[in-house]
Amino acid sequence: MEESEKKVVTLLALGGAGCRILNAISGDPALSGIRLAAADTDSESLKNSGAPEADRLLAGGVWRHGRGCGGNPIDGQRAFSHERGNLEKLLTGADFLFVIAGLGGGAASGGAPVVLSVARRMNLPVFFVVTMPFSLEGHTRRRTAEECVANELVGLADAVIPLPNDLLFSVLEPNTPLTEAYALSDVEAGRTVVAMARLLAAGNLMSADFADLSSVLRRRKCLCSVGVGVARREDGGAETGMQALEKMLASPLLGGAGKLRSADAVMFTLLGGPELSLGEAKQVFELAGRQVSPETSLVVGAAVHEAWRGMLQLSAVTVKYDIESAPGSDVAARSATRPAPVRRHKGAAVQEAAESGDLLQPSLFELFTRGIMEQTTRTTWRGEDLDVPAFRRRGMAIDTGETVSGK
Amino acid sequence: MAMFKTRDIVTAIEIGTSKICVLVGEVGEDGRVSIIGRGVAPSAGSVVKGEVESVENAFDRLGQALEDADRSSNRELGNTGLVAIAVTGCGAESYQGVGTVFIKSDDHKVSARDIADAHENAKVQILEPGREIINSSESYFLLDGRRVRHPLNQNAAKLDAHVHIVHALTTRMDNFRSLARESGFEDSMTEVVFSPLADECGIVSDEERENGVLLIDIGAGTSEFLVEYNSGILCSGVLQIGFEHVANDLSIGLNLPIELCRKLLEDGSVNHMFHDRLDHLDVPDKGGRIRRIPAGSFDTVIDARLRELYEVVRARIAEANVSIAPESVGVLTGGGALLERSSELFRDVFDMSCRIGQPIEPGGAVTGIESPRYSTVWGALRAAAYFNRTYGASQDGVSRVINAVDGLLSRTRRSLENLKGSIKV
Repeated sequence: MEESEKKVVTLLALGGAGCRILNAISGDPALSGIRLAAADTDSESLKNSGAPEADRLLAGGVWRHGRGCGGNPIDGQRAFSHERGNLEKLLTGADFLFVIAGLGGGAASGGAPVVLSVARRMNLPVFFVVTMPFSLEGHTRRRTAEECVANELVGLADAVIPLPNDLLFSVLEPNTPLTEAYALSDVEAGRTVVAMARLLAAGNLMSADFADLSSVLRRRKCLCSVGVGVARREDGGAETGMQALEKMLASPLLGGAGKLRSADAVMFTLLGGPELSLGEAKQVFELAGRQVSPETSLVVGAAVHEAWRGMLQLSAVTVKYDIESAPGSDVAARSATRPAPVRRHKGAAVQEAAESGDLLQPSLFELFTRGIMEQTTRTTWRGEDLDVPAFRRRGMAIDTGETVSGK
Repeated sequence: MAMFKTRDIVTAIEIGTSKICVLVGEVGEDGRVSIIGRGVAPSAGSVVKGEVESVENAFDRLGQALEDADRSSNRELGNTGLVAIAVTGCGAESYQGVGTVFIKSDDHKVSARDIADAHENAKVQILEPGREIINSSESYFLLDGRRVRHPLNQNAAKLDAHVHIVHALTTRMDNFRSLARESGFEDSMTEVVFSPLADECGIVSDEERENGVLLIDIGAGTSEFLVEYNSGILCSGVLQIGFEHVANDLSIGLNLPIELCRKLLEDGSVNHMFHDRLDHLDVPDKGGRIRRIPAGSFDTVIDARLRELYEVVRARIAEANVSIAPESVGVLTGGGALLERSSELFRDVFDMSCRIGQPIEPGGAVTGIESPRYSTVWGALRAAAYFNRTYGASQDGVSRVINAVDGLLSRTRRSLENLKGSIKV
């Protein structure tokens, strides 16, 4: 068993939702050794984030009086731009940076690009795990969130993992109060972050070279999704690994097992208690590996911690490269490829992928396509464009199937 | 000597997103209408989301349908009395108006005139410029505050009429009217009927009217809805989402040509897959290959779209401050009703039973309209039969209360004037 060098992982909660999520997981002993930090424009939210006082950053404190930026990303960005120096101080000494945020409002959507640019200046690999607002929160928030991801983060951050809250609808009762829905979103996002951060930090049973994945991900526009499945040994017994796999596949934020099949790269993380043996880990990875196609790059890692005694958590992060981006494309090229929307969905690259029968991953540009309704007067309802397919607006992934015969 | 009895002929026209159809009917002694001619032509893009997109194209298609209807009716179309045109879209909205009348007659009995006046008074809401009332329908009456259905000849000091009023954008309505005009029908003989009201005439049973019904018509370009209780219409409306959206969603989600998606929905492939719980569907792909698509994918796409459609209908009804009576049943019609999943989801979302509505025993020699696709035009024909009779006749099978503005009302006034003092209804 190799002991890899301890890496200093910093987990930065950005904005109100980020601070809430951090608070929810800050007590988790699996996070021991991971540095927790929080940055926001709202002093109350910072106080309740669970990050130690020395690691809290109040942006725009002087002119906003610590009362937040009113959901306005421009104000958020302004506030954070004034804090570059302090951000740099906050992040010094880290080997990896995880940013956890809920996009759509002001601090997170506005602050994220600033945090990103500071991190890049410091040559610090940064992973963004961001929740995307529920459709019912309205068109503006969705737009803000999507634009932040598409224009500011993707292609520049090492990885951006959007967690569309709408995917949670598949596991929520229709009458669930909003607060519960948000709470579930926080829990799922939190679990994801814990799994990934833990893996990065230390105690690998197998060599999972995050640096490999990171260098492959860096600067490549990609779409990620995450699934997390937790099973208890007292329920599963010998089948615990299988149960964790099943739950992971059913995880609402994963978007379906098809995501694994179609991914360019997948990272499996197994977390367990001290009773987790190498044999069991190998078995679980084998099972999980069957969900993935042979051409996919696979990175696996496992970690043990006392806090996980009696439990097994399997998480998967799937990565799909945007088919239009060439490796090493820089920012200038990226701006050039940003489209006047949706005509492109019949473009050559898309046609090719369709012809090979592969799963078609919608690029962010295609998110708003209206198909045959394109030339019609928009049908809107409460701010939503109903001509855009319903499943798309809810962030549901569709398995387009596979070719079964040549002729 | 042969005595020619002139036949009582009426016509109904529906200009829809997928098809334009014309029905010619003969009204019998008892007021019932039977179909004697029919013509259907595909709209072929001339109508989009329920509204006329290309007047020329629509005109040609309508011409075709009219010719077919004329031929099949043995050339009776030219003898038609009233022509009812089913309309949808056009920014149609509805509200419940209340009109009051004080009974001034010596015997304090409510007369037909009083009822008509109260009805008229209910149309008080000032509409935005560019809008006009297209239909109104009596929901219920209050006689001195007491709720009644048939106020005629009852004693009261005050009569309130609660009326369901539908209004729409004049310019868009004119598109429909001009098509009829250009096809040779004079304005004085045409009446427009808002589609869900036509549906109500055509396929809702008396029992359903009494106990409460939620009707939803899923057409190709639009979906209409109507809530009725105690034989009074409480709420109606249209949203510009239809079955084409389901096909479109499938086309985008599964990366299939739109034509293929329409076909899979219509030829029963999708129904068959769901019904028999198959776990995939093999579809032709480019280059002569076959693609195997999991049933779950169809499920997800169709489910998301139809559920949302129903939720929007539900929200619209709530916005109108109308509650659906607990004993209400659901009636689903329109082409979209042919997909089994549509009624399943209806039951799920509205938590009520749901039957598929379609013209039943339409009578007459011409058949072939026993399908939910024809509910609207059939209902419009029945409405035409009703309008065609002079007011003052007794009830027939049609919802007795759909009135059109101006045309019918002024006819009513005239005939009432003539019969003053001797009405016995």
